[in-house]
Amino acid sequence: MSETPVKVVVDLSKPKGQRESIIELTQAEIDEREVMATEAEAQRLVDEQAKADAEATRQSGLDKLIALGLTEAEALALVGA
Amino acid sequence: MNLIGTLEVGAGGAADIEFINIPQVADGNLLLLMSLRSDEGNTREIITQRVGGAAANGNYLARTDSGAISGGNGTSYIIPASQIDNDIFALTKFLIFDYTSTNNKLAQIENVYVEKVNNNGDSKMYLQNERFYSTSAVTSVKFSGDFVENCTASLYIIS
Repeated sequence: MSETPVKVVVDLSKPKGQRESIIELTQAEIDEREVMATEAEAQRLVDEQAKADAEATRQSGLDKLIALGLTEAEALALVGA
Repeated sequence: MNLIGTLEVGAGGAADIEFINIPQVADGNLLLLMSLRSDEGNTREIITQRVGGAAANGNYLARTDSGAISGGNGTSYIIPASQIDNDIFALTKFLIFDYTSTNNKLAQIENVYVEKVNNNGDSKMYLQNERFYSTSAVTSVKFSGDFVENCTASLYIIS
C-alpha cells in the first residue's frame, strides 16, 4: 500500500480505455472507512458469540436428553445432527 | 450476460475499489466476480461493502448468514491477508437481483478461499444473503479493504 490510501474507480459512463482512475482518498472517506471497519468488526464478534451461544445451548439440550436415557443417535435424531 | 467493466489493482495496492455510474438495464441483475486478497498483517481482513443508489451514498443492509440479522450502512465479509500463503486469493461472487428496481433489493454473496499457511490449511466458505432496504436503483458498488496488487473485479449485467 502507498502511504496515502488510494481507490481504484471504474466510471462506467466513460468510454472504454478512459474508465479507470486512481484517486487518493479524502479525509472524509478515510474516516468513513474506519467507522465501517469498526462496525464490521463489532458485528462479526456479535455474530461469532451468537453462534457459540447457540452451539452451547444445543449441546446442553443433547446432554439432558442423553441423561434421560436416550442414546446419542436418538438425541441427535431429535435435535438434528 | 454482458461484461460491462473490469478492474485490476496495480502496484502499491488500493484501499477501495469501486464501480460507479453503472448502466441501468430494466429487470437486469448485477453479477460481480472478484479475486481479492489483503495486505493487512493478519490471517484475514474483514472488508466492507457499500451499495449506492442515486440518492444515497450508502443504503441500509440486512445480513442473514447463520440466521443473524444485522444492519448498518454497509456489510462485511472476510478475505485472506498477508499471513496466508501468497498465492491465495478469495474468489467472490456478488449478485444483486433486479438492481434497477424501485422495491427493496435482494443480494447474495458467496466467498471462498483456502486458509492455507505454509501449504497447510482448510478451505473457508462464507455464504451471505442480504436485503437492501433501498428503493433507489443501484448505481455504484464499493468495497473497502487493503487490497494487494493483482486483485481483480469484473462486473456483468444479466438480463
